[in-house]
Amino acid sequence: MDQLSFFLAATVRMAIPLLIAALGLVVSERAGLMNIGVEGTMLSGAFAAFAVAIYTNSYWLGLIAGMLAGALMAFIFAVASIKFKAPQIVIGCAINMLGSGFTAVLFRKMFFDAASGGTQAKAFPTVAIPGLSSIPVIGDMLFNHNIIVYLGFILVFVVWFVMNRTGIGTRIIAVGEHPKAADSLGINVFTTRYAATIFSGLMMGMAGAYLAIAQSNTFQVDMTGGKGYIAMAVVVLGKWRALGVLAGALIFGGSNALQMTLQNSGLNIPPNLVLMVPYVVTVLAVLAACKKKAIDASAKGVPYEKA
Amino acid sequence: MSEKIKELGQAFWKPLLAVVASVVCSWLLLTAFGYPANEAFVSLWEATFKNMRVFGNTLNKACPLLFTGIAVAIGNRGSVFNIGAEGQFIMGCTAATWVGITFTGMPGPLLMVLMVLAGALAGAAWAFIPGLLKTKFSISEIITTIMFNYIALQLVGFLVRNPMRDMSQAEPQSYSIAEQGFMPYLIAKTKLHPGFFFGCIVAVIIFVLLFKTYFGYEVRAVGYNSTAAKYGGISVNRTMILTMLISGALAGMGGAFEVAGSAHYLYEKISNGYGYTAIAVSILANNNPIGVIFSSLLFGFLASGSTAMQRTIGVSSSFADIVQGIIIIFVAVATVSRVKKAKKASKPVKKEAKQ
Repeated sequence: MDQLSFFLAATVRMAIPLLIAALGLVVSERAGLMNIGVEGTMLSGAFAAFAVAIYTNSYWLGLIAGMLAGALMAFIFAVASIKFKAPQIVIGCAINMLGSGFTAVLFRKMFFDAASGGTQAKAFPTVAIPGLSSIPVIGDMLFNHNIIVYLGFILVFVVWFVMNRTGIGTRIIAVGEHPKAADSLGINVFTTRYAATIFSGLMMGMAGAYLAIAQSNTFQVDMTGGKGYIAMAVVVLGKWRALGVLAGALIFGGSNALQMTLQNSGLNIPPNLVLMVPYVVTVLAVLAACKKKAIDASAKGVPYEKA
Repeated sequence: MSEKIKELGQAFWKPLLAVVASVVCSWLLLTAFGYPANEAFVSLWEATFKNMRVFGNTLNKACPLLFTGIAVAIGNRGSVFNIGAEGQFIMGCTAATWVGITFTGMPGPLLMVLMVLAGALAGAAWAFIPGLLKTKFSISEIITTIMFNYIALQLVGFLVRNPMRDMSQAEPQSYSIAEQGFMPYLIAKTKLHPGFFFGCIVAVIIFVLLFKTYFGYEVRAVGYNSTAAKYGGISVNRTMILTMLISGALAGMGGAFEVAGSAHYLYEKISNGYGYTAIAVSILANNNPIGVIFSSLLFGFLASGSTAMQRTIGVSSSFADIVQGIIIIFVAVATVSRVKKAKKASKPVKKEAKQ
């Protein structure tokens, strides 16, 4: 029972950064942008959140800083790919390099001693929801986490509502499906795409902040370890829908939790093989999902040019 | 003729401008971060050009970038965006090391050839699966190749800790390859191995393959517009898989040269992100294999210079990542702006027709 409840709680904890980043990606990808710079954007968010949380001693300010750093990286992507119409995949790669480089350089400069683990930020505390958290198994799984976890679940419904029930969502989808038609109906393609990208940047920044000041209390160089790319796989798996992304993120969270459980299980499996699990699961899951019909934006990755 | 010269000029001055702009940006950033920028550039110079010994090291650093750079370039010319050069390079290192520590009785030259072949084969095999997933199930190669990079990294971590571990060393690393398999140093007092020169030959071969043969035409046609290529009677899937295989083989070959020429054994961080830097190398060269020779040299300087900068002024060697990112953005934006101008010239005609 203890093992099970540990596994389920860990699943949720590991799923949240993927979920939040993937929700951001859903919006920007459906607006027709292919941003593969998730990894670098998350790293920037993680570092900014960590640094601000240390200096101000406030995790809330850290979270805001992380989100703004993510938005800044997304803005660079947006200017290069929307305004200058540069190839989006190439710019995404550059964003990853910038994110990895800037955070490593600044981390060494600002927290040289912290490499040994000396500097720790004040992290988001666990907030048990009274009553609900004492339900066996489910209580630990869902109602005994830090605030960003709850925020992540709320954001699923926010993104679902906005994309499916409001004019904004329709506009975003129109811009991604057929920018020319959207333009002729008076929707500003550029503004919509900028807004979608910056929103996704805020979300990726939040996901990064979660890694640094909620899931742990410190920053490590390249601490995302491929989570940005896995978030992209989550979007594919979730078929570009908010609820699908929730399911996808939980599958990947589960594979991560499985890896942790295996490491703690006392079985004598070499750790490197265990660490492979999430990546292998990603490939298999994307393979399993590929046959079904998806609703990816038709004009994805194609810059819009006004005639 | 003058058109061609103009085009060639454009091919050179835009990347050059991007490099100059990134140097200026680096200087400003270093100053802003509070590092002595001038000293940084001096140490970069001293670490790469000062004498034959360091210059040899620079060429050695450029060698894996040259191979992986050509690998990314051929993928970009076709329609596969190979971010997996990192994993394919690592698998090439692994296979070459395995050959080097298994066939210890073999004469040197034969062993070297076998190591390079094994590296190429392993790299191609590692690229084959993402290629197959892309063509058969239309799964984006971006996600799969990246996942395969991480899997390769963990696989090497496992191999050098368990089956291939040399217990006499403190750090986890494999046994050394047989000594007759060490590639000879070309110039006395340097550690320059022949990898970079072989890479130049490979670059020329791939250039000819891409631009002077029918197969190369197919690759580029698929890369330019796969739908049109399909209606033109080209087997798109076959071409994509072959492109991926060649790309992977090149990256794997680079890994073999790294093991046989410079490292001589396998360890976890053998790649140092070469496969990712290769993307910058290829883009700076406009995905032209011959151009990759020059851009791999530049990034080789950057790689050995950045470690020197970490030693002398204390800036993290990841500063090289920032410079790469800046160069890529400048080049990508500059290349597109050229296309735009060409389009503008033809626009007035269109408008007249409309009226």
